[in-house]
Amino acid sequence: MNRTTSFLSVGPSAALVFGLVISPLLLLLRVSLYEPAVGRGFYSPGTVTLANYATLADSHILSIAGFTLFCGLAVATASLAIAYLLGIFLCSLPARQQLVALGLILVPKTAGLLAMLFGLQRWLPRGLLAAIIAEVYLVLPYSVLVIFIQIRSLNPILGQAARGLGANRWQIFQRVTLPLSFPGMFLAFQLGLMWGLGAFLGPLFLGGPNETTLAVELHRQAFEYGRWPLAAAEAVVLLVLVGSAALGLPAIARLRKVAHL
Amino acid sequence: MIRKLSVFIVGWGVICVLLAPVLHTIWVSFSPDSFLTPPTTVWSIKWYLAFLHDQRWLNATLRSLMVAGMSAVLAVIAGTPAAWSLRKMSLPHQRLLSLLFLLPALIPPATLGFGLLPLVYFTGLWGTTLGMVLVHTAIGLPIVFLIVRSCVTDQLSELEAAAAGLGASQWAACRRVTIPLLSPILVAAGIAVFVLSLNESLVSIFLATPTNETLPAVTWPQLRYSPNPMVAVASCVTAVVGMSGVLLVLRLIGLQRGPRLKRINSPLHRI
Amino acid sequence: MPHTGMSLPIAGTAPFSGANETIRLEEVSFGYGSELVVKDVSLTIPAGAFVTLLGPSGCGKTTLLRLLGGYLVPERGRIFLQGRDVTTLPPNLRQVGMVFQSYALFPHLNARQNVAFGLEVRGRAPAIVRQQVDAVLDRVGLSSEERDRYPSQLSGGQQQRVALARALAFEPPVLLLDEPLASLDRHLREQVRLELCRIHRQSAVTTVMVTHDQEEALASSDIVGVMQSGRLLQVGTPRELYDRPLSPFVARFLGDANLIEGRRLGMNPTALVLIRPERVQIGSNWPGRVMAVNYHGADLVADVQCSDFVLKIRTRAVTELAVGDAIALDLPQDNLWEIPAESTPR
Repeated sequence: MNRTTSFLSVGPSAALVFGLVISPLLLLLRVSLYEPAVGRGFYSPGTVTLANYATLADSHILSIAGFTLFCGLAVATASLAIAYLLGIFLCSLPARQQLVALGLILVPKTAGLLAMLFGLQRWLPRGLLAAIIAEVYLVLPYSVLVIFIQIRSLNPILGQAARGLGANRWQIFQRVTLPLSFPGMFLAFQLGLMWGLGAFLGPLFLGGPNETTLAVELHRQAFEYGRWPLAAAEAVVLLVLVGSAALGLPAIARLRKVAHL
Repeated sequence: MIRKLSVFIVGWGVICVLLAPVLHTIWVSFSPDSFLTPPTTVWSIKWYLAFLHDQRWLNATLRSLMVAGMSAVLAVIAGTPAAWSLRKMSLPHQRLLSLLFLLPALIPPATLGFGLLPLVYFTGLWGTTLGMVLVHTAIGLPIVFLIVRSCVTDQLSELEAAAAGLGASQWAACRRVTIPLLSPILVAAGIAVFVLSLNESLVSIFLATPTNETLPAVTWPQLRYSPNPMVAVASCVTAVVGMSGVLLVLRLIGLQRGPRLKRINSPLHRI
Repeated sequence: MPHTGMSLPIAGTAPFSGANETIRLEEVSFGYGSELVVKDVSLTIPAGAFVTLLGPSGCGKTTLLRLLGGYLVPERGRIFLQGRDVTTLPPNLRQVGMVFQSYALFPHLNARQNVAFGLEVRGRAPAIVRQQVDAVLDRVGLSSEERDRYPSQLSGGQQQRVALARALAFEPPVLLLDEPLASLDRHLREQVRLELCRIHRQSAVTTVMVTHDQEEALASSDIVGVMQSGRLLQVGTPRELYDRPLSPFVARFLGDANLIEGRRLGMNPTALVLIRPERVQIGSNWPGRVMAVNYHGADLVADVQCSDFVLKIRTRAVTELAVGDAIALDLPQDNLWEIPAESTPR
């Protein structure tokens, strides 16, 4: 395949991502450096300042960042644990039931997101637990998908071989299945963390005033107070958090591997 | 036996818990009055009728369907060649481009929505359906990319090589071999984008104006501030369309048992 | 000792000397990254020949086949088909039929449509296509009810016939076969091999086959080329390669071989001497003791410890041999082949 063909085939997608994902993020970075608006408008054009980032160091916003981090870790851990159970359960089902179960697991996120939030609102009083649970509902389908694919890709012969060598069910799980599914678990945790850090709908609909994440806070700053530069600075901080989850976790995993050797 | 039974009960139990809120909402949507308690003795479709007679809800629903349909088609058209051509590139290029095409799914939607706000404003897409379609296309891109990439296997490459060896030009091989073999997958990817777009609330919350609001954008303020059975009805409408979409996708991807595509689809059974 | 040099591979192969060449490779090299998979391969193949590339897995034989088909482009060297330089020509512009190891049948087309593919993309009229498809399917012997089936509904042997018919349908001057017998059951293999030979004879298409099975190679081909780690070690008729290998690798790869240092037999002290087990005779010159006996039905294979080397011998099973028996062997001069020392890399 020549250069033109590959350029043509990758071009439209790349243009979409650059135009509608990367450039908005760059724009955010620029907005976060404007001075707040005086009078009308959302910011003062033509200004450059780091003051918005200095404002973020205030204790209220630090506590919000702290809660964001907590939310990410809690969502990632909870969804990994539940997803692993469901992944193993799915793999134990016959093919047809497996598809039905997988479809049902995907429903809350893909089909009935609003219906799911509506239902949860009826049952759970607003608060920490409700916010986290709602967010887990949102992340779980993808975690299950990732772990299910990983466990399914394991060669069943390995389990039979381990059994032939005298391992019981628990030993097979502990010594063969679990170590081989680590990559999937890692990916599921990483995705859970990234999405949990960006939690918005859960805390917004089911969280109380204490359950404010950076995403909720930036929405409030932008839409309720019209402070775009501050909201943009919060968005940048959130992006940095998510980015370090994306890049930092594999680095930590690599370090641990080296330590083991 | 007992172990199997307990695994069975726990597994399906967790799935039931996952589904419970959605089912509860469906139940509430048949409420005869404006309370949010689920109906027990008297059921009614009064809120569904109200939904059908409310111009704002109807418009939003139709717009949602249109936006979802258009972005599904666009995302498949843009994403398929990208995923297809990736395997012929060097590994560093593959990694970089994969990251690029998955980026829309990895960025927190709230930041993306907020960042798009000034962009859409300055480019004149503010309040237009086109803007909504383009944004949903970008958000749907990772799904198309992932699904198609998992199907562009060595086996497909070999079949394309065979076609070339028989005298087919690159375009002829694409038209006669690649596209027919991938078509069920492309349809599945399109439906997946459609369903996601229909439920895409986060970015829509930031970008919706009265002239281009989608169903979730109309639903969410009411859901937040004044939930009523009408909100349940709206949620159920998306849920029903979405669930049929999920069923179709799984059928296309997983239950492909016909003789024609059995071989090419075998790697898909892993999804 | 008579030596044939490596100079012109085909020189001396009687039926083809002077025939028109179909394929010529000139110092072709190909590599993934820094590692060369094919190293400086030169080869000339006369029209109508059945050539087999033989070698262990990973020796580069399949890569060489793909270079011939145009699926890969060599890093160095040139490839000629019927006198035309096709080194960088893509596969769809070469007239080369290929049967892939996996058969690569299009799963969305039935047998007939698979075979018609090459004719349709060439824009042949539907009536001609239909006629030619039926003719070539007749030739490979696919029954009429099987012709409307999809690949997944056909057995391995039937799939192979379809793949062969598909490669032959557009009447290419060159046919490439990548391990055509490898995925077949043992009892089917011999039958399909004979059919391949029959089809080759009937269509006179120049055929290049890749295999790792030396019996297959010896039995089917006019010319065999033995490959090892990317190099073409030796090219010749099957008998030439079996009787007069130019390296210990070729000697061992083409069957059981006794390789004895020349000085032990009182011959050229730097050379290795080859004698095939079935050429060792029971006689009087080399006394020894039987160490092991394997019964092969028609034959007996035994290891015999002579003074300071072990000889493998193969004799008719009518001879009674038992472990521990004292025996004397003869090594007739005519049956000894001295492997030249300078061409023994390992």
